[in-house]
Amino acid sequence: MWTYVVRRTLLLIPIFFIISVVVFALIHMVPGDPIDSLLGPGSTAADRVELTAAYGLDKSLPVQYVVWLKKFLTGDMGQSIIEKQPVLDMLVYNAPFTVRLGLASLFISFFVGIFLGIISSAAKNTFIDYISMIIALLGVTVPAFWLGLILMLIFSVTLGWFPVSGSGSLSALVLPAVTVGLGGAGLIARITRVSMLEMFNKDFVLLLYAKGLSKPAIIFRHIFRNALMPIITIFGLRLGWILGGAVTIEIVFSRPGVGSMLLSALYRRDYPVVQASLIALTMAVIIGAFIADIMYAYADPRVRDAYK
Amino acid sequence: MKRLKVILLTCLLMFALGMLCSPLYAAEKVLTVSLDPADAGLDTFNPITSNRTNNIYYLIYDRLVEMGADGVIYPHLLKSWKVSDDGLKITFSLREGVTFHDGSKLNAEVLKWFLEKLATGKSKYMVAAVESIDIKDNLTVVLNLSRPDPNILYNFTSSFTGIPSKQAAEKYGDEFGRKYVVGTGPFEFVSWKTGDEIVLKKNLAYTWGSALSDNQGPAKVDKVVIKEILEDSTRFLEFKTGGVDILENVPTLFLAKLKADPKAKIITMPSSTNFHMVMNTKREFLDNVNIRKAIALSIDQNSILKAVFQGNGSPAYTYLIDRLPARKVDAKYEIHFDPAKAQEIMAAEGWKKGSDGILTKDGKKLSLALWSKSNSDERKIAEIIQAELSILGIEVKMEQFDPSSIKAEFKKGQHDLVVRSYGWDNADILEWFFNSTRPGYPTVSMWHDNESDYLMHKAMTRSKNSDERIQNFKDYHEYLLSQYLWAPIINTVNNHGIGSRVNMPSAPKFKILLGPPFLDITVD
Repeated sequence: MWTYVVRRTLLLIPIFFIISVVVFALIHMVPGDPIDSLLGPGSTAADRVELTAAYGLDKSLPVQYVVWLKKFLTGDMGQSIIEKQPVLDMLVYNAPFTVRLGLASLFISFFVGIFLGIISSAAKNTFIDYISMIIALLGVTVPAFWLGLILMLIFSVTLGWFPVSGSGSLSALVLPAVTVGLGGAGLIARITRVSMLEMFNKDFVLLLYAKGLSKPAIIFRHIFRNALMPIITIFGLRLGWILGGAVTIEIVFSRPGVGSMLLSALYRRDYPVVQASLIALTMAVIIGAFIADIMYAYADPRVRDAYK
Repeated sequence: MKRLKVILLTCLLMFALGMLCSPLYAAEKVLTVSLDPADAGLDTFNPITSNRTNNIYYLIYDRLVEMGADGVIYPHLLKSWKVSDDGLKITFSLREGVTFHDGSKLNAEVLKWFLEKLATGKSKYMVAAVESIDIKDNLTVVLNLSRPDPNILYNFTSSFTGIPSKQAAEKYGDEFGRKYVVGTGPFEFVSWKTGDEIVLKKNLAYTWGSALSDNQGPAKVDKVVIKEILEDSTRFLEFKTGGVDILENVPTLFLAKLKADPKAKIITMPSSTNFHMVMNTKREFLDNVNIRKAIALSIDQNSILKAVFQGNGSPAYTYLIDRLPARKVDAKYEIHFDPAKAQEIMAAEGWKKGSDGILTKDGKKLSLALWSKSNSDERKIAEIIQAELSILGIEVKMEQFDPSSIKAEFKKGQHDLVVRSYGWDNADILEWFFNSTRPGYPTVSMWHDNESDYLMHKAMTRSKNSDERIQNFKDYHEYLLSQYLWAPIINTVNNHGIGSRVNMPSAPKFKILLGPPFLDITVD
């Protein structure tokens, strides 16, 4: 098991370097540069040259990359060109908002998804099954920003239960978390259902019925446990999806967070901020996949045995 | 025992009364504002180092003079000013008793320091004519100019010329403008969560409001919370549910809904925003002034005003906003919708419509790219223009860009037509967009013309007084209009949503809503 964990951890290093090169190249290839945002009315061509040099943007891309990487590896993410603040400080301020939203959404998506998956499999081909699967399908297909606005209209404007936007209170987290969470619940519900239905046909289930166990006991104690494997697999992958969803939803609900920070930096081509937030987001996705792998190995002896 | 009870009860009553009467326990009056998203994403509140400001500057800082909604300049931190006959000396007399939020005093020394700092910062062009500054006494400074600059007073109404505390700026260095913001304005800086909200509290010492507010200070609300909400729908819903009291610049999409809401009030104020379509004079076809003219005459300003802005604003027939004196050009230079004339011009130029309805000459089809930013108003305008130009017989291919990349694309010079907008209330904007030394951006039209540059220099630097400056800018403006470099489209208005909790005693006399009008606001 530990060999497996060490191998997977070491694999994160080359992945990080590949991501950093891709992110760096992508942002610099997009037309536009932060100097446009810094130059005001009446500025001259000389002002542009001076500012470009001051931020090291006059150097070749590989040189800029090496300079940036050296600093990054020592924990110096640089300074925001536009906001003149250390990027690390900005990330430290914004990340908790995104983490909070991500965790709450992840919880909602798994809770709702597993619940729908179980009841629809237990009541296969009944009205409950159809309704659950329609809800799951809607969750997958409805765009998050639209769902967010609809939830706002119902729960904030009409019922007045939650604030429309902001991040000041726990109640302000409910609607954005439900918006992102419901979107993720659809896939989990469908996977849970399929996995559970597969288990229903296994011989051991027949044996359990023959032993006289109650249906709920068979479903929760035996079938669900065995059906859990594919759900664990998608846990890590969902983390990336959830974070991607959170980026849009932060804008809709006007919440601070890595998503809002990334978007405003992207508009102004604030390279250090874009690079750091993109790397933070992609690393979170990769670490999610890594955790899923470890959990999978822990749950399935065949995987960990392969590395013995 | 009985006596003890009476004493205790009396104490309790007195305490309760004290709680009720004490201002310390009075409910704090908080005004919440949703900032215009165009103003969001600021990097600093330091007017010296900033290249971009927003309307919050008008709450934290005061200026020497202020611009009223009527276009007149009013004294504020200046008690009076005097320009010498040759226009080369301006004497500024400061108002007495003005203090910064940190307790330091505004005096001639601070003003001199500020003007000298301004000359080293990003807004140095505003004081480019100032050669030296003399302190005459504690409240009087004399500006010695290298040339007459009739525009200098206008520059001092700008948000870039809000005066910061010298003491605080020197004490906090680079942190001034972000962590520490100290001015003389009606509200003091409390906190700033980037991309989220800015909190201000009232300046209790403030008594030096200008004539642009009924109340001279202090403000009647205790705190102002300014929220940066980027999504239009969210802003609207926050306003509907009372989450914000003032919706600065109501999105056009929600204007009709808000007008129908009996609980909301809409205040319409003049805007300095002009929408227009730029033509790249270096591109094939568009290098011909007659084709540019035909294109400009094919654009129906009124239909765009109705379809995109629901009638809020006025059709633009020149390159400047309506309230500027240099806008009042000879009527023959105004650009009005005239499709028949446009068809006539194209026919005279030898263009004929093919079976597909597209104009053709010497085997070439008249096909142009129309660029716009991906934000909704400019994109919607571009869609209408595409349809209108197809009637003339021009094939228009639309392309959209995000705000940052479009400027980089301009520099490549590969654009044909571009729908753009600007917000500025001075005729010197013509120099910004048509100076031939900056092709690509900001001179998106790639305009290069000696006569134009001569008229521009004359207007910018050789005007001896205000009347002469207006006339020089009129001449420059008329020349530019005669070259059909832009197709003018719309001058907009600003509509602000005012919630039911907010009382505003009169129509704002200031040029914008944030600033002096906030001194008069009370909340229930």
